[in-house]
Amino acid sequence: MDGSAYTAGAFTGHATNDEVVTIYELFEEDGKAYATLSYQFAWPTITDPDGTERDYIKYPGTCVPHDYAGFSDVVTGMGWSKAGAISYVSEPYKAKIPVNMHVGCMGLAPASHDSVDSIPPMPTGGNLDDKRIGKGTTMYYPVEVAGALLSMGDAHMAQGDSELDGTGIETSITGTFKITLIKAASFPEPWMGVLDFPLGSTTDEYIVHGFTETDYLETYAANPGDIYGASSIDKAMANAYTQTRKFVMAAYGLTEDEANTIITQGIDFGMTQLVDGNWGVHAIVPKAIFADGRQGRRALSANTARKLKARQLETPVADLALSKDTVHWGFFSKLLEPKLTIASGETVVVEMASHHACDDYDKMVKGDAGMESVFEWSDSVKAVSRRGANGSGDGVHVLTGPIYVNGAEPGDILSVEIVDLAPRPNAEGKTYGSNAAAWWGYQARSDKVAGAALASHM
Amino acid sequence: MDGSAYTAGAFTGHATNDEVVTIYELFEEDGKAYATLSYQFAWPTITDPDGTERDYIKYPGTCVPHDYAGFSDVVTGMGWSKAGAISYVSEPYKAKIPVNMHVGCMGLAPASHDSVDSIPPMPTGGNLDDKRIGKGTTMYYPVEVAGALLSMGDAHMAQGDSELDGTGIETSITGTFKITLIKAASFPEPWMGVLDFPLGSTTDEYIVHGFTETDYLETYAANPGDIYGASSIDKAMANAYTQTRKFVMAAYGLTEDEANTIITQGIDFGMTQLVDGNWGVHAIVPKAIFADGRQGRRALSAKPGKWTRRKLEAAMKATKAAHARA
Repeated sequence: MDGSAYTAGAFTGHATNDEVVTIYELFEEDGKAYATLSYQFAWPTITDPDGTERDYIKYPGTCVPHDYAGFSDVVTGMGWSKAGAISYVSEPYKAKIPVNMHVGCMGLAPASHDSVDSIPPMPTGGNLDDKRIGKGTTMYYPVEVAGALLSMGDAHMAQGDSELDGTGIETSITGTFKITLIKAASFPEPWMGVLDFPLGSTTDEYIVHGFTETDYLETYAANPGDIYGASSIDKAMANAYTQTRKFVMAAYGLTEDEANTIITQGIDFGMTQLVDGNWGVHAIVPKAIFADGRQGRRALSANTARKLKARQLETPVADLALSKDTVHWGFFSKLLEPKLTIASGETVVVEMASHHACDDYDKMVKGDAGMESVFEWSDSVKAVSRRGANGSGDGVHVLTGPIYVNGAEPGDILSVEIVDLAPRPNAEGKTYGSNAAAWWGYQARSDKVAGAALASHM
Repeated sequence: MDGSAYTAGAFTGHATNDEVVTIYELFEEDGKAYATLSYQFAWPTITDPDGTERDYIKYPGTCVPHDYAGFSDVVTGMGWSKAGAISYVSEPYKAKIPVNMHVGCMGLAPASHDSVDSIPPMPTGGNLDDKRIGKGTTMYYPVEVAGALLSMGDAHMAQGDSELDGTGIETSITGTFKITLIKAASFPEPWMGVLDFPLGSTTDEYIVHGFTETDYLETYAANPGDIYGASSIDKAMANAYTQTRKFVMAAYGLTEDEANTIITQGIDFGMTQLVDGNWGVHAIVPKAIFADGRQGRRALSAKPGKWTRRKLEAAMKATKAAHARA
């Protein structure tokens, strides 16, 4: 492409609507496919062949009559015109985006309405805009009408989680799909009976899709377009959580208390898209964490004590060992006396105590002199008496330090490289941790499966 | 552990506060470390050695006087008592959580207040609760006071993005840290001059941390605790975006229009934690997408390679077949 009509760097004649289009080009390096920025242009005011102005990219299919050297006259010949010259950036930053082709919009016709907008995602799928809906993924959609009526389109070369600026790298592709009907009378998997959202599945993961409204066509039945004024990540997250909880309880036969703690430790929540009215949050459910979960797992750790003891011997001598004198509880403060002073560039070994260790004293404190020192509290002694920022509050984290770095002044940056982290086994060579499904947890904001909310304590 | 004092399955005498504690145990399989559920119990009403009731798990360090067979009398001897028997689940589902040790709370003392609560994260770091802050990650914190005053604690064996139920797998660990001071007068990287949040860096990625309030100690200077009533993912996402935009524009010399499209196509946003008052959303910035970005890249695509040719040939074939059918 001839760059003579372009300006390098920022746009000079930015259109008032400030919409910028980036054309990407696919390229290959070392056998892998990438997309990179080809050029950018500011959206001009365009008049279509029927005489209507198209100020924004809200009417896809609008053809841009380009100015750049070599562009054919086909578009102009069809009757498209524009108000002024187009502003270009011919040499944008050549980012190297790994190609991850996926289908932005795929789903079944819903039963509730004769026709629905293809933008907001719905229980039967549609415009999920999840970059994981690519090769190797199987989607499961609940069928609402005879024949299912599957459609697909809106392919992307790539996209990050959130689809931040409104569109992926929009492209045209050819897909190959294997389509299987699963009859309700003989669902082979227990989760199939509770599926009311589009579920993704890969070899390693399930992908649960939550939206601002699980079924916006029901919430806004009379005016489905009202969803555009109601977008919320907070609500999408709440729905992603309750859908994930329902899914793992059904799929693996978990109790609600098991589901909450396992979700907390093993499942990631991320932004799917924040642009399609009915915003999406997804949960990544790794299948491996549920392997053989009803089998005893304790046998697997028979060897652990010996191995951990061996590992314990390798633990380096601490520069800051745990004791009541090296920790502060529940606050940061510029007034604290340093517990260690170092020069820049030093490597230090620091022991850190869990503030939840007394959830089971015998397993996480007893026989460990450092831990016993921190947690000593009887009617005569309270080893660490100051807890919390004002000294009387409910301080949380047991923090080791502070470490004073010579020469550090306001405005500088401190870099802390984590060279190693080692468990702190108890006197028997075993290592335990504690998870509290606490009153401040996100799960406490949703109704429990049985119906009662925890939120009364908040 | 002797399971005789336990009931299998759901709790029978669930406490009214409905707080459930799960004790996890570390195990090893094929050379990899995992955590699995050891047992669960419902939080009882506990009275501390000074006579104060601890109804909820809001006062860490509270010792639970357990009922299960074999539990020692140390805790009772220290003066802790409880209102009634504890309800246990002795054989919970044995999920196999890959161990991913990380430091939940690490940061520097802020300048604005004499002492601050360690729960809400702040520009100088603190309780980020990001599972990526583990071995191999370097954290960069803006220094606000002389000596920087670095502290750390709140280690987790593992945690998912969101830290949904309020806590990770809380455990005690020993960490090895290399600490380097970077003086403002000679910042080697252009992003260092605009750093007003705790940044993570690994071999492959930068990790940008956004919060409901970028600096809640400034927003709620008089009453920092007000942040607990103002938690919002929507606001955290907005801040994660603007921090990421600022970071990539500074780090790579991008225009705003370049930053927006590259963030959209190459950067993932996820929930860090939704429990620490000042909720967190992070952005994962893969360093590889910015390799040689000011070099021409078009030369690389001058000739279609194997991948492109194969795809194109297959697509052309399919298109022809479709035309033939029509």
